Amino acid sequence: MTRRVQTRSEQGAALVLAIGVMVVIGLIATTSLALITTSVNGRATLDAVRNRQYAADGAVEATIAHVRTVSSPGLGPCGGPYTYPALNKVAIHVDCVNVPTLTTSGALQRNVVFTACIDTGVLCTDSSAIVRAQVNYEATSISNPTITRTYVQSWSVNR
Amino acid sequence: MRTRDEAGESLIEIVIALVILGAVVSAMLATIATSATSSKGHRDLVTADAALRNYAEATKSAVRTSCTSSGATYTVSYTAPSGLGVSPVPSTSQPCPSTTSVTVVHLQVTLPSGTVKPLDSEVRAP
Repeated sequence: MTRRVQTRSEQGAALVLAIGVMVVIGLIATTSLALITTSVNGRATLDAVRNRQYAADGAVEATIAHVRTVSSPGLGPCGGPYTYPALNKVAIHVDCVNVPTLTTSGALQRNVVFTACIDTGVLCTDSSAIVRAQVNYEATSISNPTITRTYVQSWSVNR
Repeated sequence: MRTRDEAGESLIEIVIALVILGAVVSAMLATIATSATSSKGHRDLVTADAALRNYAEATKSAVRTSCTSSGATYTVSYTAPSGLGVSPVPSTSQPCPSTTSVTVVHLQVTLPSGTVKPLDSEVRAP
């Protein structure tokens, strides 16, 4: 039995190997750069969320203070909708609605619910709400509607 | 079987391969260095974000607890993480907002790199 010895030229083998390694390392480098890009974009998104949340937060605070000046907050119309274009360069829309109360005498509850969302010219919905707060307006007495203090009963940040 | 004409060709191939690999490894090291720098920058930004939020909440808390009468002032108690600068400087007395309006507070955090991250917040008297 005879064995046939096959001889092949080795010319260019190292180049092929080098190109292969280059391709592999190139893929690793591309992946690494993609990770960096994603990280930077993620940071920008989180910055935008923070600015949006504090814009909504400030808009609700401003509306709470404004509603304090209307006649009988929680009983009379709370006005609005209110829009705030400046804070953190985010335009915010705030709706308010009086909360029906159970007590009709004594310590009458005068609660208002505020809902803030990005200003798109329409009312805020459950899905668009960024901040929702329920605030109690405390008056000196039922006969004297002057507001002496506000109590935040709930404050939720949704998105 | 190697013929006489191929003498020295393997050496040339190895040298070329080493040059290419050297270039690739250099690029790889540069990528790793960029990644490390980016990671540090990202960490600083996250820290700055947390500092901004904490400072804003500390400011709101100070107003809520201190601004219960007309003419009152409030003082924010907040310590920034090391390496970060915050503005306005905490522990300085500020006038309280009125009961029917809000005061806009312009907060800033300066990163070790010099980058400034701003955040506006609004505070009101309870």
